[in-house]
Amino acid sequence: MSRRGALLAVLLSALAALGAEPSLAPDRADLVKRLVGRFYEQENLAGSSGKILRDVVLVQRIVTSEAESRKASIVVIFCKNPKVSLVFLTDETGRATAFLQRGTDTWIYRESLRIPLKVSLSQSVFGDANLGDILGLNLVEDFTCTSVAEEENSYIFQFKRISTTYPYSGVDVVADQESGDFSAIHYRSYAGGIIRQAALSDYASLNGGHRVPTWTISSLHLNTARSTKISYEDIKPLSIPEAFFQPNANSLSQFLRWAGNYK
Amino acid sequence: MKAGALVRHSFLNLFRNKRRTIMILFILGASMAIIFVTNCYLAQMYRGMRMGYISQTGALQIARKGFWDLRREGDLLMDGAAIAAVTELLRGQSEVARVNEELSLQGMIGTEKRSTIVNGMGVQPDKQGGYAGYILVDKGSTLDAQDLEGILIGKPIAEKLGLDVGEYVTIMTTTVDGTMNLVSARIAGIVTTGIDQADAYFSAANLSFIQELRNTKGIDRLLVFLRDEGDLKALRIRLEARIASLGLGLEIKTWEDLNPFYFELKSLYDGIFLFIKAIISVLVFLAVMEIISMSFFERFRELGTLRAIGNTRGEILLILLVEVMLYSTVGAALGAGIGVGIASILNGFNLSWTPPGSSIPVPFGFFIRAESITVPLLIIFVASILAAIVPAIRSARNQVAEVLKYE
Amino acid sequence: MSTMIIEARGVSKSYVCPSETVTPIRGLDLQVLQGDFVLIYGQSGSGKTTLLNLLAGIDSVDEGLLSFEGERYDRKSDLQLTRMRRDHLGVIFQSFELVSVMSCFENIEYPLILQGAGRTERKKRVEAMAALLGIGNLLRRKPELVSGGQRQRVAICRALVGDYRLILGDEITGNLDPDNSDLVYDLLGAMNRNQGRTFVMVTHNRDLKKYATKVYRLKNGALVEEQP
Repeated sequence: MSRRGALLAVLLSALAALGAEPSLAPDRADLVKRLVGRFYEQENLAGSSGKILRDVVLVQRIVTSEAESRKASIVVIFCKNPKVSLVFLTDETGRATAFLQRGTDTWIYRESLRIPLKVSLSQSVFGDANLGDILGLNLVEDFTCTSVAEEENSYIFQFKRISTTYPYSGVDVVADQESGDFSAIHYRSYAGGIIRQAALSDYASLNGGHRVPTWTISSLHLNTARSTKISYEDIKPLSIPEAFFQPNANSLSQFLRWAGNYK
Repeated sequence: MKAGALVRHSFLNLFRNKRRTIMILFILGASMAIIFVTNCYLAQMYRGMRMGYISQTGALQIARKGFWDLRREGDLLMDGAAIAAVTELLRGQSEVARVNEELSLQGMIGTEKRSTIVNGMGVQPDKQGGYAGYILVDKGSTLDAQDLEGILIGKPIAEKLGLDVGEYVTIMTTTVDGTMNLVSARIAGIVTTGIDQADAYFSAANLSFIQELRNTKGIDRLLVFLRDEGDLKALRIRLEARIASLGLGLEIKTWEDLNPFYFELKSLYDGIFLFIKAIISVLVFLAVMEIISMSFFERFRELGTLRAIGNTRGEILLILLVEVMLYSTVGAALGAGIGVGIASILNGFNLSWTPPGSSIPVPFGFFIRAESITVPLLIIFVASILAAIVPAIRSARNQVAEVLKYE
Repeated sequence: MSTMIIEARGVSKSYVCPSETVTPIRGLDLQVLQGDFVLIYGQSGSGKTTLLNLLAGIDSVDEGLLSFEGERYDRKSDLQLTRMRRDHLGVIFQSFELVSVMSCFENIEYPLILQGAGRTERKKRVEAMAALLGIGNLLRRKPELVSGGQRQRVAICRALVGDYRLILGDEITGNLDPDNSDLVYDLLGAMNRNQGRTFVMVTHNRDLKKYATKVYRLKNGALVEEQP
């Protein structure tokens, strides 16, 4: 390589480095992969590295804490291939609502409707919880870790989103150094400020070796006196007809009828 | 010197130099006509705006206390008992033509392909006024009181969601108790409010439909329409007293309170045209001063003679100023006549124009009325007198002996 | 014993010019009694017009005193002097000084308007005086439509129509031919003799001495009495 060529290569690398994100040290990258991967396999079932889970049903209970607390129940179905999720919500009045996520698109539907409505993952489901909370963060595939910090007995992982599905620019994950369990997640807006936060506690074992926490979510902007708790009751595999995963009134109506029996 | 003789002398001076007289009358008349026609245009525009606002918002609105507070907590709806009590109260007021109920809707509207934010209202289609006073149906029809699932949407919403009349759409909002609710509605009509930005979020449906969606029997507010403009302040005071005595916890706002933009826009236009009127005043002042100074100067000897014969300085001053006032009077009358003519002819053409931000054309007309003459008349008179006063004083104060020396 | 109409005592008047100071009237004395027809003549530039202006109160004296019917008026205000002229002094100017926008009738009646006379009275007096001066048929015309001589007669008419105690005239026949000049002075002389009207006329034409009861020559700023 000529002197001029070498100089150019150095210059281009420097320029590239200026625009590039700082990469994690190998040991840190390993740490992240291990903890996040474990969390993902055990808790968030929308696809984890190495394991293919299909048609898994996750039954949750969701409670708001306000002057009068309200409750609802949620049935979540994940399918990795194609990447779809169905959520069945029954509120206190018995109203059933279906949410369908296919790739980056999301719909909401009810029996009384003629057509589903296209919404986003930030669509509120119940209390402070939105659809994204119910479906969980895919920190493995949809985010990239940009830094790892240590504070007292915790690791603080900073994630930046890759997928445009999420209404956040990034999240900060707090993990216990000893157990490796996640204890808190802070959600950042596009302006960089923290707009929501979730406390993860009361880890419990569920069917199939799954270890899941209770999520307590609160908005830092709206109704700060309220928080919403999502807890898990059951996880099991189930065979779900492909027809349910279509974004039309007919298939979603069928899903609602099926899920209504599965409470 | 008797007033009649003085005025006659001043009047005769108008014919001294016909070319000069024509020039002054032209300047005064043109200025008068311009300002008068401008005033008529502004009066028409303000009248149209006022009527437009009143047809939308009603002359008065009645709602729960704190409803209009930007920081209000919760929905603050009027319940059935309050609605019945106020409606009964209003029925007893002779000025009131009708009362409309309204409930707002903020939420999302969409299809399986796309959705957007909507800011709509539940209305009573069988009653005049309110939304019907300012929308123009682009496609389909207005709301029908019998068609409970019919909805109107703004044209940009229809374009964005790819909707046509007769198709279904989903509306999602939060009920009064904070839970999410969705319902399907059928597009009854695609409309425009006349304002592009408002169209992008506009929707309207039967009041009962929105109440069902929001899980309430309440309403946001009552819109009160009057038979004619009348004394709004007095009516408001009367109603406030009665409502207070009934202990209903309601407050009243007039269309003026609800449409501060009207006054902001009016101030803006008034300011702009005041500036223009000021410029015209200065031009009139300078032109008249120039012409009148010349006219007075040419009469130096004559004025000196009159002083020698027995006219006092004060009488000379009055003769000159009355002359200018006569110019102003004739000029203003001509200008007013020309202004009325121009405004009438233009009104006959039924012109229209589309203001910026509007999606429909509005009439371009002139409201010809006597009040529009007052200000330009004052401007013409004051500018002319001010212009003439210094030359007149100078002419009246000249030393007679010195003046009579001039050849 | 005739009443003193105007008295001037030790009157002086100077004009300051850029290069010099001119004193056309210097220590001048004059007494005009009721019924006098005073003729003052002098060369051009002798101060005749200045003297007339001082007597009419149009200009102010630098020294001396002026009195009208025993009342001093050289220190009076402009307003008082104007009223004095309006009510008591008629003035005929050398260059007519008619108001161009008024008809000859309106020009003549103007002093009567200032004095507050009624319309009928004004019409009667104007027409009578105009007939005397031979301009009765010109009354409806504007000054620009009559000859110079006719304009002069209109100006004379204007000065005579009011009931003035004294009439002052400055070269009143300057623009008239000899016949018309004689006609005018004949009329003034008749008014003086028959009606006792008092005149002070200023002229450069000494041939008009024959009409006067008193003749003065203005020389070196003072008056020198001569035989009429």
